Amino acid sequence: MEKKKEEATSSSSSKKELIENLEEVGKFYFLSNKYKEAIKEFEKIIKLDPQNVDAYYNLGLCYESLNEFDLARQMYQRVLSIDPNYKLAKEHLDKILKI
Amino acid sequence: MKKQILVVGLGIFGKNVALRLAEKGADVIVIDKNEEELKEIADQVAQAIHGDATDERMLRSLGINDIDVAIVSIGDESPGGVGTSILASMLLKEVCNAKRIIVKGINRRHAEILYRLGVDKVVFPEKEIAERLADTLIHPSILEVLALSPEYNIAEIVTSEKFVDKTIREIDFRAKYNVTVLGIRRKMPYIRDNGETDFEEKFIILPSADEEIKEGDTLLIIGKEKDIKEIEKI
Repeated sequence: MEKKKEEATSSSSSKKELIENLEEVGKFYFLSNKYKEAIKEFEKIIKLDPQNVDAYYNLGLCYESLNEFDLARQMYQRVLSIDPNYKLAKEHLDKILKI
Repeated sequence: MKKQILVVGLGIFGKNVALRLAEKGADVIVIDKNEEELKEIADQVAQAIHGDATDERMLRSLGINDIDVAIVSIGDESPGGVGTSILASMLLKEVCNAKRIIVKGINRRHAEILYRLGVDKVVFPEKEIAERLADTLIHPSILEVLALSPEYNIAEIVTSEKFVDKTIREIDFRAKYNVTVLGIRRKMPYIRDNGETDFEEKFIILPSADEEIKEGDTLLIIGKEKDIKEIEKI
């Protein structure tokens, strides 16, 4: 029983670590104007954690930077459906929708 | 001196014109019959007047007689609606001495009558937006187009992947594509101390030949319409 619990904790901490690493790499690409590469990293995070708002927000930024406004809108809307108080996502969504 | 602008009718068009003009520093007076609409923007404009712009006595009672531009955005497709717009336009010229009158057009006949009566400009915002929307659906990479002449346009286009990481000199826009790059709109990503990411937009005017095109850049180019459409296919 104890062992299983330990394994579960260790697997959740390694998942957290993996997400942090992916986020770091994704942000590195984003900051280097390599948006398509960044998208790949943030999508990996979504696969591991489908409720990760920061990953959706960063995907929104990448799509917006690539002038893919429909996809960017979908990402920001996704962020706000999970966390309605995510201010930056709201600001970007308003800008895209021009409201 | 600040420009004094009168906006009649606070529908979506009238309201947004008024707000943008006020934001840009103009002295904006708005007139509408609907008090709720007036309340919504009253604190953002110089004066919000509740009244009917086709009522000559009401207009005279305002004592407004030095207007730079009057924008009329009232009326609908019905004969009465067309008449309302025409009457208000004429009264603004006569009573308020509007130097320039711009009217939101209802239909072709309405526009013809207005021009005959001396209105300076009739605009059809829905038509313009519809045409622009259709153009962007056919040419998704062309974001904006400004027609300079029947032949020449200035357009903002999304950069083709083929140009990414190459300099303007290497791409050789003028010789190979018959267009000149006037500017580059670029996203400048950044990260805050708390780890939040965001970007700013930077506009590079008349970029040098050594400027490298980056992913996501949009290019402001000048050239013949046919050459601009060609470059979009790349």
